[in-house]
Formats: sequence, structure tokens, C-alpha cells
Amino acid sequence: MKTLNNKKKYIHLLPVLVIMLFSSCIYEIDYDGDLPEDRFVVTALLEEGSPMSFTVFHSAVPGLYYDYEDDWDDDDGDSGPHWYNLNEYNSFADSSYISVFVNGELKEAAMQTDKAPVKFDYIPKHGDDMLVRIENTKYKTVEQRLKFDMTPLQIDSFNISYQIVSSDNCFVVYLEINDDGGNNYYMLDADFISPSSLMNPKILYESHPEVYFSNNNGMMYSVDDEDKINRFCVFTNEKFKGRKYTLKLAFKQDYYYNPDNSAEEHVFEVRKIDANAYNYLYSLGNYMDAWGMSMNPVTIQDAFTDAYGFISIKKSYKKAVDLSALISGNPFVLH
Amino acid sequence: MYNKILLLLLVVLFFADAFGQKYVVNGYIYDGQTNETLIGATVYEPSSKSGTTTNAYGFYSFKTSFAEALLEISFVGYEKQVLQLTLTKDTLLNIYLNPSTTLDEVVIRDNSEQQRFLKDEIPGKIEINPQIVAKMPTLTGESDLLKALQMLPGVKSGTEGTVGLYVRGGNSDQNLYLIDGIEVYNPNHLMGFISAFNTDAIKNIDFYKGGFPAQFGGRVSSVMDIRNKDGNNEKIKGDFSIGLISAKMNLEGPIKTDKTTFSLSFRRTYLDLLLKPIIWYATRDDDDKYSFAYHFYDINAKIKHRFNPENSLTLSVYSGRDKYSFSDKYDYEDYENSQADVFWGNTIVTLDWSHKYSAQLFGNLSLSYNRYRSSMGSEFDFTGYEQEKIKYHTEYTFLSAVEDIILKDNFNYYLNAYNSFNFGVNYTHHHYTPEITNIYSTENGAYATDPYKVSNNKDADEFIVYAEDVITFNEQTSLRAGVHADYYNVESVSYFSLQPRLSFRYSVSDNLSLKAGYAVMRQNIHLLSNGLFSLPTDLWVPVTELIKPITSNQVSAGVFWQIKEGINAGMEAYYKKLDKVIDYKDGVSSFNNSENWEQKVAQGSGKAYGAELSIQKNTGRLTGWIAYTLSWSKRVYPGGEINNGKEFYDRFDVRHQFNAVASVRLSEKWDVTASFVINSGARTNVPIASYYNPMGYNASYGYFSSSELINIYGERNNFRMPSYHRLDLGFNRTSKKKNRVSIWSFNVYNAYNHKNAFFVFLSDKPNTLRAFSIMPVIPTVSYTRKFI
Repeated sequence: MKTLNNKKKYIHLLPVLVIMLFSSCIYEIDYDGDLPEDRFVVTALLEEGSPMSFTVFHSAVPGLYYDYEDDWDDDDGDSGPHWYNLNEYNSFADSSYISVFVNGELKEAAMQTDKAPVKFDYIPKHGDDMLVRIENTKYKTVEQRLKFDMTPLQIDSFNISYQIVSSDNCFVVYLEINDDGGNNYYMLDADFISPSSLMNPKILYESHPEVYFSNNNGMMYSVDDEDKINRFCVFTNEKFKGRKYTLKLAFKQDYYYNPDNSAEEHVFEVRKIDANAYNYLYSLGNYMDAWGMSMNPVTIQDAFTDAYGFISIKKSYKKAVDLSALISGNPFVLH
Repeated sequence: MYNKILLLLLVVLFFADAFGQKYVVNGYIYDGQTNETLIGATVYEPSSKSGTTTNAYGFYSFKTSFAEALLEISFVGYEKQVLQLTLTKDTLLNIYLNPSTTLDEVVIRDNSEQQRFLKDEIPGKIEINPQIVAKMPTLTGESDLLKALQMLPGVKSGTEGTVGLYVRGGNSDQNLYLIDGIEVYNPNHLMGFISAFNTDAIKNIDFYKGGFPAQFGGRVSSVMDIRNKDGNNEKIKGDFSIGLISAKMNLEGPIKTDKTTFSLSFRRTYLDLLLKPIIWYATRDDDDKYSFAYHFYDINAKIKHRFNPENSLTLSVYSGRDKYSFSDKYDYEDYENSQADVFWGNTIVTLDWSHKYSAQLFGNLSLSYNRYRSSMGSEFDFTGYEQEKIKYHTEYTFLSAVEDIILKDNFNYYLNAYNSFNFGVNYTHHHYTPEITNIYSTENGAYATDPYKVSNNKDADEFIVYAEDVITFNEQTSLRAGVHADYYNVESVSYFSLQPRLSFRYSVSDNLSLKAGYAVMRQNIHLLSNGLFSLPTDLWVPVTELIKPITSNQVSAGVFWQIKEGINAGMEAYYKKLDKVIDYKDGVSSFNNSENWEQKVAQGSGKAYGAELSIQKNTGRLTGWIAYTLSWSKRVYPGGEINNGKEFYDRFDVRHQFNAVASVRLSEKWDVTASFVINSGARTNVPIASYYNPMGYNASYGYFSSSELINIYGERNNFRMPSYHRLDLGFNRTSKKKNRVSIWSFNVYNAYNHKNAFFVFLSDKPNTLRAFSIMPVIPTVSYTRKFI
């Protein structure tokens, strides 16, 4: 219905398009003024007691990335490259050197090669004052200082069940967060729910309304809750600071989604994250969900001045889920 | 504090009236040939070096201290009259000025314009001669007032070819367009490519971009006060013209000589009539029959009846409408039929009673109905013949409207030659219908989906009281001080504002004046618009509890110099602060409906500052002006919804702008007008970097589960498009015969075919953008015949 609405409303644009087609022309202009140099792109959430891993990418000047019209075998003497600037294969910032300092002392350093994540043996501890430095001759060095002193995540109640909600088989999550009153940011994640289901749950109960979908700007998905999304499942405690927040969500089971079946157990994770991670994910979600004509772009909030992304800390509450046991019985119908 | 100010004012008034002035000369000033009242004509007494000008009804009142008074009466394009009067009492004196016959109509030999240029206190006021507007070359060959305004210093155009005005850093919805004192909500035709004002119907245009008089309010950036013709009181005359896309006719004359006159102007495009046979021919052999048609029309009509010298009643009507329709019928294996109609436009009806209460007090009482309305309707039918017979039907209707009932009572009190008051009260009842939408679909008669309905209405009441004192302290110094009080109530929300207005003039010498002005303006409605074109889905919405009124504070000052007779130069600087401006949040489409609009916009503040320089030549064979504007315009939304709360340059932050307009009378038959503009490009959003979304990378498996390219824009409006420049030429050939005048007009828009960037987008080459240009060289021709 919404799509129909928009289509019909754009019908008045037809005369404008006709005028433009009759009289339009396209020409090229240089665009090399103040473009920033290519930069590191990194997103990492580190947690005390868990191994650290980084994958570093890089940005490039804007432009389209494959010349479909240029044939590999043509006679223009140009044997390639036919890929311009950036693609998902060359976006890795290999040969980048990642150093981890703890309390001013170099603990470990490694180089990223062959697009593989850089994994460290050092396990962060509570109270660590860590500096992560990423270097590469092609890009500006990026540094992030992290203090592993995040207050604990307090979950009063947590339950996952398998139910039928509005004729859909769903994983229903019941969650009570006891907020400690600070400026807190939260995130949900689950490795057995498809990304599309994760971002678009049905809210069955929320003790403080409009918290979970507060990052929905009323853009494309604004008609009702069914269409609202929270792409990275992040939310703030602005409306329940120092109080208990109860949330009951139903995530549709996606039969086409095939999680790692080799794992007997899967994990549903509630995270406490810092402002840098929240701001990036919140704005990136808005960027990815923005839709429509004559739209101003979303500016993504990075934690760095000379790089894109964030390196942040988190505290996790992990609920192990035996998926086969959970869905073996018939789901009961939720009324 | 207020008591002291009041006391001071009373003292000023007492002394101002105690200069020994005794006789009041008052009346109307008319065109000697048509008996049309003249607005802004000057009455000047050289011995006292004081004077006055006629108001919007052609009325003047002048108090002199001399029994033997010498008065000079002048108006642009008319022969000056010098009257020697012997006065024994207050005297009613109606004055008839004859148009200059020996000179071209745009040539000026009287000094009234110079007088107003130097003596008027308001720094940001520009008087525009409708005859010059009529000669300026335009895109469609249709003379266009708003496009002429775009050539003035401090005024920027928006989307190429459109008539949007961006005045001193303001937005296009911050301009108040008035026809005979009543607001026109939609000043556009043809998606904004042509303005809604038919220049043939216009008698007078005053344009204000700062130092606003107290009577005006409701918009924060500019005021355009248009007064239409009353009608020829001597004989019926008319003209018609045919252009590339439109035809128009004007008819005016007396219904009863010296009592009742009428004026009628009608304009209509005939693109629909031209396209009809072309489309029929193109689709004559197709199973798919489609058609589309577009036209607009506008009517300006006025009947004025003068009961006696003290009373007259005027009924004026403005109605303009655009209509676009589309149909597509396919009948072969299946049957499909779709039909869409779109209408939008304004209707204004005003009944105005003007009354001279005394030789010194003039008033007018008016009752008006004003409506802006846009509506859309579409239907789609489908019947499948081959498969099972399915009848599918869908309907869509949309309506948006603003309706006002306005009662105005305005007064001018001429205390003496040095002091006059303007005051009045206005009441407006607004009825807003931002959106009524209905959509439903049926399949074999049953609802296929739930009907979709949006309906919202709001009523608002607005009370305005204003008062203004125009004081001439001496020959060198004058002051205009006033206040505009506005009370606006919409549903349970009320807003009240006191808006001070102040303008000051100091004449350093006979040909050099310094002027300064300060004005607070308030705007209680917002236009939800796409910002590119004027479309029927642009919605006017009133302020709410969450979305507050926009306020502007502007201070401006300038030097105004008469270099020599007929050549003026002005330099003016301004600083404008805007509070509670709105814009769509990052990532929100502006092509949208009114639903949840408060959540889609953010409120912030803006500032604009700059300097404007202009030189005008008003006499001789060559007339015109050159203007240069240096300006900055910025916005900030502290809530962080836009540009993360950081300050950024407005889209129409155009740093440099140069305009030149020249009109040359080549011979008795030929004249040529050229206009040239060059300015810094407008700003837009262009990615400065790209990367693959790292959140889509699955490190466990070593691949991107969702490979989405992220474009980084840095900040809003981060890219300035290439400089814009364009030359337009207009050639007019006029031939006069006994009772008629024929004019052939040849216009060339964008004469040297410069490709100006309409918008830009990423190219397929690194470090390269592609610019899309829509307006090449466009020649047009039109023919006008006047019956005189």
C-alpha cells in the first residue's frame, strides 16, 4: 500500500522528466579538489577476557568500480586494470601493522596479510589502559585508546522460546536490563537469526515505548511497527536511565538462513557498548535505511579523525541456545 | 521603560505638529490618460524641502505652512507638474499627470525616483518598473516578474529555470507575495518555471528584502507588494499576445465614466492543444493509446466603483490553476486503463472599501477569501481476458489546501509634512488541510488490501496589530519606527511576538544618503517541499507545539549615491539571523507526505551576511543596472539530526553573484534588452570517499556477507557546483499605427548555450563527476497587439 502511495504521488513528476529529456545533456567535470586521501576503515568491538581480532580495510576516492564496456580483449592497448579503485577484493588494507600497547607497554604486534583477520594472543583484562595503533605507509596512522573499565551489564531476566507469532515461527526473546544510570548503549546479536530478521523484530512488549526503534527516523519504514527496523539492534538508555527496561521481541525464523550447523550451540548476545560504537552503528544504520527521492545523505559518525569506523569496548551477556532442542518441539501459539 | 518611550513619542509628535503648518492639501494623483491612480507619486514642496508620496490607493495628504504654496508633482514616466496654490483652507486637489510623450516609456526625466531612492528611509526596498520587467528576456518568452527579481542584488535563483527566490540567505518559502495586499501561497506555474503573476495586470511592484515596514509580516526574508491595475477610466482598451507556449489578453475600461472601471487579464498556455494531435499521430496504430496534457491559466479581474471623492469600493479576483492529466489505455489481450489528473492553484477574492475619513486620515477595510489547493486523482483498471477474468481496480485521491478568511483595516494618518502614521488591525482565520489521501484497491469488487487513509485538518486564528510612525526631523534626517504584533493560535498552541521595525535615513548631501534598518519578522507556517521544483505535493503546514515559528532578525545599512542625474549607486551590507528554521533530517526523503512530518524535520538556526553593490542607469537610450553580491549563508541544527549538529553552508550559499541588465532603444521600432548573470555554483552533496561496509564482512568465513558500498559525504552541501553563467537576449520590434500597436518579441535564453550544471553525480571515472544540464539555448517568439 505504501509503495502504491508513493508511485501514484510521483506521477506529477512526469512533465518535469519530459522537459528534462527534451533538453538535457551530460558533461564531465573534474572532481579532484578537496578529496581526502584514502584512509583506514576498521570496526572492532573488544572485550576483557576475550581474544582480540582486527580486520582492516581502506577507503578510496569515489567512483564506479568496474568498466563493463571495456573488453579485456579489445585493441585499445589497455590490458587492465578494468576494476577501478575499490571492490570487495581489494578493499583490504593488507600490510597494515597493528600494535597493541597496554599501560604504555607494547604487548603484541602483527601484520595483516592475505585479507585474513589479525588475531592476538593477548587477552585484555579489567582495568587495562590499551592503545591500539594501525600503521601503513599508504594511509594515515590511526590510534585508539581504550580503557577496559566498563561497568558490568546487569541482566535480571533472559529467556528465549520458540513460538508462533502472527502466523510466523519466531524466536521470542524476553529480556530485562537493569540499567546502572550511566550514559549506556546496548546492542543485541544472535548467530542463529538471519540479519534481515534481526533488524526487523516485532515488539511484543516494551516497558519504555519507542526505545528500541528510536533510531527509526520515520523514513521508509514509518507506517507501523511491522515495518520499523533497527539494523544493528542498538539502542540507548535515554528513556530508562537508572531503571529497569523490559523488552520482548519476536524474531522471525528464516528458513533460508543456514547458520553454522556444525555448532551444537548458538549464542544470543546482549552487549553493552560505548558511545563511539553506538554513534557509528546508529548513523550507519540510518545511512543504509535512508530511502527516497531528493534526500539529503546521512553523515556517518566515525570515532576517528583520519579514519572511518571505530575501535571500542563492550561487555557481553551471552545466552547459549541449543537450536535443535529449541525448535524440535512444536512451537506454541502466542496469544 | 515603556512609559518613557511613550512620553518621548508624544513630545516628538507635539513638536512635530507645532511647526506652524496650517493648510492640508490632499487628494489623489491619477494618470492623465487613463485616470488610473498612481502609487508612489511624489508631492514635493521646494521651499520647505519636504514632501510626501501617494499610498497604495493613489492618495496623498500634505500639510503646508504657506498660504502661497508651490508644489512639484512627479512620477516616473510622467511629465512633472508644478502647481502654484493660494490656500485659505484645507484643499482637496486631485492631480492628473500626463505620461511623457516625447520619451521612451522607460526613460525618466522627473526626479521622483531619485527622490525616493535618496529620501526613502527603508534600505532594502526596491521599486520595480513593470514595463522594464515586460521587456526582459525570459526562458519561455513570457515576461516574468520573479525572474526579473532574480537579477537584483541579494536575490538568488534556485533550480535552473525556475522562479524560486532565495533572498539574503533565506529559503524560497520565506517570501511574502501579495496581490493587492493578500498573500499568494503558490507563486508558480509549470512546476515553478513560470511565475503566477501576469505582468500585464500589474500597476506597481515594491520589493523589500530588509527594513520591512510594520504592516508586513508572516514571512521572514522578503516581501513583494504587487498592486494590480484598477482599469482605464477614459475608454475601453485592450491587447492580446501570442507566445510560444501561451496566449494572453487584457481588457480594461470604464463601465460608467468617472464612477466604475474594470480591468481583466487572462492568460492560458496551449501546450495541451499542441500536443494532442502529435500524440494522436504517434499512437494511431498502437494498441496502447496514451495521452498527456498540461495547461495553466490565470485571471486577474477587478471592478472599482468610486461613490464620491471619499469612498470607493473594489472587488478584485485572482485565480490561477495548473492542470496536468495523463491517460493510458491498452486493449488487446488484456484490458488496462489508467487515468490521472492533477490540479493546483490559488484563488483570491477581495472586497476593499477605501475611505477618506478626513483630509489627513485615509483608511481601507477589506474582506478577503484566499485559497490554495492542490489535488490529485488517479484510477487504474485491469481486466485479464486470457486467464481467469480478474477485474482489478485501484483509486488514489489526494488533497492539500489552505483557506483563509481575512479581515483588514488599515489607516494612514498624515499629521503634517514631517510626520505620518500607518496603523491597522488584521484578523485571519486559517483552515489548513495539509493532506487528505485515500487509496484503495479492489479485486473482482472486493477490497484487495485495506484502504489507506490519511486525513488531517487544522484551524488557526491570527491577530495582527501594527503601528508605524514616519518622522522627518529635518531635510537630512528621517526615521520610520514601528512595531508589528502577531498572535497566532493553532489548536491548543499559541504564539505571540512583538516585532520591532526601524529604518533611519541621514542625507549627507543632496545626492548622498546613509540608511540603516532593523527588522524582526516571524513566520507561522512552513512549506514541506522537495526544494527542487514547485510541485502539487508541496504542503503548507502550520506551526505546532513541537515545531516553532521561524524568526528573523536582520540589520542592514547602506550608502545611496546619486552619481549624476539618472544614475544611482547603492551599497548595502546586511546581517540576518534566522531562528527555528526547518529542514529535512539527514536521510529523510523530501518527496513525502505530511504524515509524521514533525518527526522528519529538524529545527535549527541560520545566519546570512553579505554586501550588495548596484549601479542603475534610468535615463537615456541605454537603461539598466549592474549588481554584485558577496554573501555567506550558514545553518546549524544543534540537535544533531543534520550534519551531526555541526554548522554547514546552506545549499544556496552563493559567494559571488554578478548581474547586468541593459536595455537599449535602437530606433523608433527596435529595442534590445540583454541580461547576464554569473555566480558561484550552488552547493550539493557529493561523496568524497567510499568504502565497503566493514560490518558486512564475516571474518569467520573470510567474505562479505553483504557487500555494500558506503559513500562518505563529509558534511552536508559539501560540494560547490561549477560557476553558473548565462546571457539572455530580447529583441522587440514595435510598430504603431492609428489605433493599434504591434510588438514582435524575439527572445533567446542562454544565448551562447552554456551548459550549466543542474545537478551532478558520480562518474565512472575516478576524480570525475558528471554534470547534468537541462537548459540549452532556447529561442522563443511572441506577438502582441494593443488597441489604444
